[in-house]
Amino acid sequence: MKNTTKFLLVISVITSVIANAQKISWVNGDKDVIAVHSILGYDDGGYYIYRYTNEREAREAYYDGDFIEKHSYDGKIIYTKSADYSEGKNTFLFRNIYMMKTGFILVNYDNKSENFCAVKINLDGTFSDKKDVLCHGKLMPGLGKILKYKFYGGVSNDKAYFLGYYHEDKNDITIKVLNDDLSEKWSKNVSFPVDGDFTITKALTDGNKAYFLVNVKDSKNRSRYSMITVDGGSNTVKSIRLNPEGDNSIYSVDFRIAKTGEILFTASYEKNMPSGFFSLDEGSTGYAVMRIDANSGKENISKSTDFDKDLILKFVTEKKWKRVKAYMS
Amino acid sequence: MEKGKGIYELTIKEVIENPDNSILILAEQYDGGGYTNGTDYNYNDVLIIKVKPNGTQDWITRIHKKQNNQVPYFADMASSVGYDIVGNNMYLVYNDNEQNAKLSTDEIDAKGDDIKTIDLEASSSELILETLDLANGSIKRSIIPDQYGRKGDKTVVFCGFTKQMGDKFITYRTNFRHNMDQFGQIFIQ
Repeated sequence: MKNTTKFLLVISVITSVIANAQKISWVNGDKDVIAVHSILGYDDGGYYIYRYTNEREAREAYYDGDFIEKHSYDGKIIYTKSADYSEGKNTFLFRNIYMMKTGFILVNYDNKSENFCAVKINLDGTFSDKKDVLCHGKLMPGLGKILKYKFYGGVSNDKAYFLGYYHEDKNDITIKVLNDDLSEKWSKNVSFPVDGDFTITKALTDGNKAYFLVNVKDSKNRSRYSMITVDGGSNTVKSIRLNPEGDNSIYSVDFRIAKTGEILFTASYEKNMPSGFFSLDEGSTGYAVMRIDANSGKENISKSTDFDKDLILKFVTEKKWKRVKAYMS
Repeated sequence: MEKGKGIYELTIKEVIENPDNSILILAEQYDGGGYTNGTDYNYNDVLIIKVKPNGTQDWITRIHKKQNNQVPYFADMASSVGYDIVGNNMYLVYNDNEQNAKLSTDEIDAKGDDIKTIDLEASSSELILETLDLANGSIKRSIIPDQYGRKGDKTVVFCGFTKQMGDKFITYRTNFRHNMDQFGQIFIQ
């Protein structure tokens, strides 16, 4: 690094200006920080980032492993920890990192090996005990066999539970719910009660149950959504059709466990047209909100709202609005 | 952006729950991917919708912007908006073309599709702060100045990367001219 750049870095360690009652400070550590993939989270002592190279001064960063790094709020690097884990001749590369209550669960689901493996790095940067390593499946040499479906994961709202699942056959789903310390809370292999081709859009857990948002394409290629609930304490698998939008097509969705404990489902939708007149994906004409009782599956709230004319006119012409109105009325 | 009969490519980006069980839906027009002649990523208008606990709409607000880039990782990080809620306001930060920066919200709206697009590698950018009043959905637009104040510096803040941490944003920026990347903190006071 050039001396002039170092000088600028030093004088800019903490520089603040006042702008419209907001203050902005840029904080820099001892060295350049490059190849940052994401900010994982934070606590009182600083924030945690995920990087994919250990090089700091090369502008053209290259991948040489995965690293978790903790930074203090005044710009110091507290630790850099390689997230690679070796066991015997096998080295696991972890590309997906989840922040939990007491550390990070790292999962390899690169879709290139027939295994699922999770390890944990504690918040202080140390690897958790080896006994916490949980592996499933058989390791394959090289690229190995490519799974038909990827492995996915998710974290409960309280960051106490991790949900992992994969399916190798159409309806055959393996589900694992892990505690924060990587011990297994429950595991099940279930069949989803869904007719037709489906994809899992998102999966959630509250520790006791796993909830899956399943997208099913109908014969007209319209997206239909159902929620599949798997109870870890029983063999119960329930399916609920999510239909807040009536006969319209859903474009984009969000699915989460609300603070009330309800399942909160939101979507933007496109009002359907007479067959053959318009193609799909011409634009959202409204949005829907559903709140569902997580235990009974009862719809507590189900409401669809069309966007009003003034808003849509900002995106389309008056001429097109006449056609929009014809279908929204 | 006039491609259909509704709001084109509107994607729900985040749903935020308020203490009173109302929710905020943050949606953005996103259109990106590989095409015959390369890749192209567009992050355009943002809609923020406040929904009451009973599911009915309280208000809806639009932030009009046009962001474009051809580099996948860079486009995802530097485009879009970062957001934070402090008190009764939601704060949103994003990069805008410097030719739009000094326009008011009404002037930006009036320009419609003619507002300047920011290509995050080619255009000079300004960091915009939108202050959204959660009581009624009104917005106020302002510029967060670069603290260096050097003319010609090419700095892009990675707004899509921004993380809310209480009363501040943690974000990341790259300065092409000085070959320097930094973490930054934006304090809301």
